[in-house]
Amino acid sequence: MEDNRDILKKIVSSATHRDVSDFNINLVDDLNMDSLDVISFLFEVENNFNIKVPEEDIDQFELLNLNQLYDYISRKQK
Amino acid sequence: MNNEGIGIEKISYYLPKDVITSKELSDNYGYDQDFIEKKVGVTKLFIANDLSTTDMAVNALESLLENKEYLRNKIELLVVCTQTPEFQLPQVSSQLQSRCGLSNSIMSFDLSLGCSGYVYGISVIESLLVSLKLDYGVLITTEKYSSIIDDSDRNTKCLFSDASSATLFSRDGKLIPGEYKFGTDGELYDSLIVRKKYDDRGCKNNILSMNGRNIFNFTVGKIPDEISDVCKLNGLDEREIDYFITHQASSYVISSIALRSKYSQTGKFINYMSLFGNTVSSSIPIALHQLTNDGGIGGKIVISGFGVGLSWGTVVLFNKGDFTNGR
Repeated sequence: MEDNRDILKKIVSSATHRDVSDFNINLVDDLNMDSLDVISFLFEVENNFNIKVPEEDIDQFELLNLNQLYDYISRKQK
Repeated sequence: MNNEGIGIEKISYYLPKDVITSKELSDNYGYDQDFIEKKVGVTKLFIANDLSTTDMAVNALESLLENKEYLRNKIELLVVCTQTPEFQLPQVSSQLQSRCGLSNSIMSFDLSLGCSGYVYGISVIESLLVSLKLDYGVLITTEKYSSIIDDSDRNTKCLFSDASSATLFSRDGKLIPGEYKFGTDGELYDSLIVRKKYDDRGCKNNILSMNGRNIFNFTVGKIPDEISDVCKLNGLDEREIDYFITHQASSYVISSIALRSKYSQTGKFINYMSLFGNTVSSSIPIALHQLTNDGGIGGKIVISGFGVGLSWGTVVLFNKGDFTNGR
């Protein structure tokens, strides 16, 4: 069974056509996502993990960083 | 589907002469030009400037009536879809009746809807022509979003064009609407909203604000299923559809819907963003017109409008005979 890390990797790969192993990266700065890419990416995250990511959480929890996003998803699913 | 042959006979539209190019948008609002052209899909936007919402509606209707002068006395139903009228009252439809010299024995009213308005309007016109046994009805869509966009809001400034359209319905119509599917989610009402806002001089203006993420999530989460459902309602498999014309919200939204639709038939999803921008409720009729000029619209077309409200509507249009747009 896929764990959250694998699912997140797949979403990143589908959105950017890049495979990531190190999660200490920023979606915009390192993966060159623009504002529309980020919206679409978060849409997939919400659907795949069955969570809601409110707008204010993006800045507060620095969710454009993949590590932070991974931790955030884990907390939300508890 | 009605059994009386009521359908679309002709579509016309009007675009203002003044334009803003993607380069100007890029220079003025700090977006990369490539992003505006390839992601948003905009190469130019049309701006009405001194023309009012009603002026644009008059121009679209006059274009529809070219070579059809006899219709001025025969149109019995006029529905105008707009949310940017120059007056809170009276309605645009009554001004249009007078300025275009239509009969006084006409039923006319305005419909307050945004990007879902064309599909709703078709349903209203079709229903009234059937129930009141009328022969000719016209649906107008007309919006001047430039009058409600905050000049400093680069999200909306780089998206919307001013435009209008006019669609003639008759018993000789060639594009016949099948079964419809509609929906509303008022919980997200403030995702696309006009509010009063005070400017630096203390003047109160009506200003549009848009939560792009909410709109994207709603659209991409909802519309692919709506398209599937409406095909089933009409006894069709999605692979039998020749073209899908969704509201031309942005290139990114259109391609996202296409990718998430059943069978991902991306080549069948029409995208005219680069020619017209997002013309709100006029985007579907303008696309139908353009597709006809570009070589024909096929036999079965799904059209789907969605936006302000939030509100959405989807229907299959059946091309009975050869729809040549009144020519």
